[in-house]
Amino acid sequence: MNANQQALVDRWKGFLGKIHDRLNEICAEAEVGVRAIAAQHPDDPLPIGNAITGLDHRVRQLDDKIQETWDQQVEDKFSSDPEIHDLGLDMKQDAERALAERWELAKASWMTQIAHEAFPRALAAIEKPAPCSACGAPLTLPTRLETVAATCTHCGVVNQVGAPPSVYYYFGFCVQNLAEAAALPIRHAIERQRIAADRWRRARNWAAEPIESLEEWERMEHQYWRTLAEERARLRNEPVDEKFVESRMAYVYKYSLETNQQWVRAKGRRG
Amino acid sequence: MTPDELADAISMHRARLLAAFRGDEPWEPVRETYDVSSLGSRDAELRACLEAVAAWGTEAARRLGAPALAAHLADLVRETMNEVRPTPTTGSKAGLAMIFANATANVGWWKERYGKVKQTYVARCRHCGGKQTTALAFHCPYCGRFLYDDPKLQT
Repeated sequence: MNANQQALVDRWKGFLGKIHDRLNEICAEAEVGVRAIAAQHPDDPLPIGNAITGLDHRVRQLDDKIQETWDQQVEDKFSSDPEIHDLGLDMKQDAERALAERWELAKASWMTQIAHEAFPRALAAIEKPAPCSACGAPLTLPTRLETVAATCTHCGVVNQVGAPPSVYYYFGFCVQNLAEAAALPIRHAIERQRIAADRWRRARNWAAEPIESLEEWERMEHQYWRTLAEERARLRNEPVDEKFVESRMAYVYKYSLETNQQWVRAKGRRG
Repeated sequence: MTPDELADAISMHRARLLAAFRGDEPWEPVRETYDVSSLGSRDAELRACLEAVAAWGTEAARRLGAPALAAHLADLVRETMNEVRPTPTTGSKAGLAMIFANATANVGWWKERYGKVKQTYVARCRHCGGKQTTALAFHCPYCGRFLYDDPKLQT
């Protein structure tokens, strides 16, 4: 790489580094805010959900900034030098991936902490007796995780008993977040595998992706959805939802793998 | 007073206290209505007023035999105080304060309604008041009519 090329690469690297620093500032500040909201509104997923939606938008703006800068100020410079054009694009793609991973891991870490804090509240609520709303006698309930109809053994009236808010909060919102956090490293590995497969093809004049690489993708997707389902089942002490895994994989086949001619030729189409 | 009327009355007290606390009407006269003297901090005064409402409501719920309402009252003070605490603020470097302010702006409106939802519910006949005694049987065991018929629509 000559001095001009090196200077261009360094400038681009410097800009991408600043975007990453900006994300680190957002993460540091957002953590304080999200955890304060969770403490002020325990058992209510709405305010945290609102905050995360707003923060996601702010982080997307950083992504947009990378794209805009590339389109308006950088691409021409890299395009005029074919030797380093791909390098500029790869740096952009790597920065976008690093940004997404940093942000998703930060959110997963906060949500995991919030879930761990919510767990004792949910356990305490489960152990609290639910009285019959007609006579006040304690009801015997098959579960406290969802709404059930229970007949009072004292007065014979049917009570519809919902799960306490802290139970809904933990076993719904928090368990989903914990399961997603457990599976997140696999999702990141999938994204990186796809990038590596694209670069492999580019280096070979866009040769078809080997079937082994596609099979690896299939295996990782299956591992991702299975991990998510198993973690959710473990935390709720329920059987693994096999239909959920099947339905997610059906989408993977239909909208990803089966759009690849190599895959269809080798494996055919499902259903 | 029925348990539903008591729940509505508690909700009205809470709404009135919140409105006065936020400056929609003068705070001092409202505070005095609850026999709370000046404590030097409006937060502490609001807490004392809410505790008075909770104590009155709990006693009324006990008399009415409404344990579910009493359970709801146990959280009244904590939840209302959480609602009026200032929105979490963060440093201004990343400029996220508006996001957090928006995230909590309408939570009270939703809670006001959600707070009324009972965790335990018994279906009652709207004609004779008979209670459901068999799960998934929606005809009154006493008068035989559909539990959810609206008597006002009957001719």
